[in-house]
Amino acid sequence: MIDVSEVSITIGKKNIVKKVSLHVNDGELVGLIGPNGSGKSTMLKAIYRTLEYQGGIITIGGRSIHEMTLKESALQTAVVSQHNYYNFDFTVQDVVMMGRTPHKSSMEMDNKEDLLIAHESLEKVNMLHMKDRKFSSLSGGEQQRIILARALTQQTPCLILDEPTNHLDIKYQLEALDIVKSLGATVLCALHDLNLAAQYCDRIYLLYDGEICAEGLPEEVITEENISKFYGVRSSVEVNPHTGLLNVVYFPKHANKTS
Amino acid sequence: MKKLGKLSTAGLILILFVGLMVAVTVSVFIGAVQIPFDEVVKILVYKIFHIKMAGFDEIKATHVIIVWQLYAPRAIMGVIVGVSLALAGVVMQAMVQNPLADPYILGISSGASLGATFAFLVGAGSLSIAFLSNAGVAFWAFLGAMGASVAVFMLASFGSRMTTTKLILSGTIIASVCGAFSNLIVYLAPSDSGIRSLTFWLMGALAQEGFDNLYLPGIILIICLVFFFTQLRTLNTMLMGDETATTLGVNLATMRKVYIMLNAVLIAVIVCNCGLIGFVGLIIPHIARALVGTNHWKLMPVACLAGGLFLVVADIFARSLTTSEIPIGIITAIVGTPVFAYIMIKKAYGFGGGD
Repeated sequence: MIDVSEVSITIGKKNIVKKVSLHVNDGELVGLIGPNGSGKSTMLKAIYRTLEYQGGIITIGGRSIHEMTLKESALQTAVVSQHNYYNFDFTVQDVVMMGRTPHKSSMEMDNKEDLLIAHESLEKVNMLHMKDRKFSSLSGGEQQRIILARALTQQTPCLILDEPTNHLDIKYQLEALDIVKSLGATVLCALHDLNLAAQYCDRIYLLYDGEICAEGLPEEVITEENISKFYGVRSSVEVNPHTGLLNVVYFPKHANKTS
Repeated sequence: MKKLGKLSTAGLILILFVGLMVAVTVSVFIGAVQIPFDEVVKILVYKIFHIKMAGFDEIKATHVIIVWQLYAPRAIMGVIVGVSLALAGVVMQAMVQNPLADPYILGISSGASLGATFAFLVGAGSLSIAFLSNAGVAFWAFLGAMGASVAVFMLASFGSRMTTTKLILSGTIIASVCGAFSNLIVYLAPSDSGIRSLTFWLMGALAQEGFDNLYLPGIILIICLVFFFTQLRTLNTMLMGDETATTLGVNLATMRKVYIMLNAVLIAVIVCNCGLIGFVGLIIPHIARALVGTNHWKLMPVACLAGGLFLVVADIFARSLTTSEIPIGIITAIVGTPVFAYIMIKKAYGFGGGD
């Protein structure tokens, strides 16, 4: 369980996140949506500890992250973040094997079991055949799937995903989220795509200008009013008869046939 | 497939190790004075195992001194310096996540140059403190290297968190300042002879008289080797960047400080004994990476052995190409450049980042 209570984050003199409270129950897939610059990534960074927060408290599994060593929190939470560019050439397998790092002491070599876990993760993202390729020779979408495989290899109860579907083809967007959902893990996931958020998340928080402006079930948060108010876009939100799930259609400026 | 890769890395390590042993042996035989093969063997056997082989007593005393006091320590020094530079190069490139990094990048070379320049041209004897005025060039070079490293370290960690970019920029800033002061001293220097000896000193040489100078760099190298071979996993995660390393549970900020300090001591000791030997610490890690990849579990042993081998071979060339000796820094650059260029042109090795 991830619990964020009244957390504020200031970078320089700018208040990026203002007294945000949110929680993710065990086994829940919770979405974090909001327009560009609303503070989604900043919020996530504070939870995965690459950014300090000022007020409030963040707990994972009941313990304040400040009381945990980095290694302890790395055993709790795996992360798929947006920036994954490396200056040196690792093979795909090397990158995925790094997910085993928190499970190892610094002198310990990787063993067969570690390799097996890494290969299973690669299998899950359909990239096992690429294991000997150079990471840098892959496309952006393929790299993103490798990073997801690394996070799976970390075998943590919680996952934090920052736009995990970036660069992915539609097929792999669905596949990536299918994998995440099938894990039954505790997941907090920032998403751009409101349709994906509506289709996959159990609950959703809408962040706008550093504050939670809406929260609840997908149909409670992703509404025509909220999309218009916070994204500045007109849309229609309906339940799709084929999927039984929420479906968002945006109206471009030139489309003014109805309403 | 996996097994084959493992085997070839182990095989490569074995080949490099044997190569290094051969090179060291050859190195002991080569020098200005040609000493017969059997004499060298007898001298070494006597000195190492204290066994007098038949005919040992007929060997000239000067030959014994030349082999044991000049050639042998020099060969060992070559190994120490080569391994140190390669080790430090691998660590530095991982630490600043930059393929252009070398052991000297954090101010060490410029600081050592400034120290040596001061010692040669101003003359430490002009200082009134007895301890300082008696100290030699090596001491001043060490002081300069350490001083510059500490300055870079402090500059990079001043204010906000230390980042790789801040480290590299701090290194550049301190190098400029030291360079300016070195040039000022050279500009104001009264004699040309001092400048000439300074230039030669900076070009680097492995020449030794006896084993005394080998102990300190040898011991520090062993400490660093032991330590960094426990850090291979951390070095791997370092290359993933600060953010990813943090999410994998590695505290880079602390480790980085330890690495910088160890590197500074190791390289400062090498520089004050042997001057600046360029290129080795930059290209050997890249050559090793081209051979076995970026994973430090394989990279580190291969790079260290290759560094030792490269430097001992370069020193053999330095001593035998012409009648007088060529500074080894010149050889490493001349031999190293085409090798490096070949690796760069070869598409298989991308330095990272792809194209």
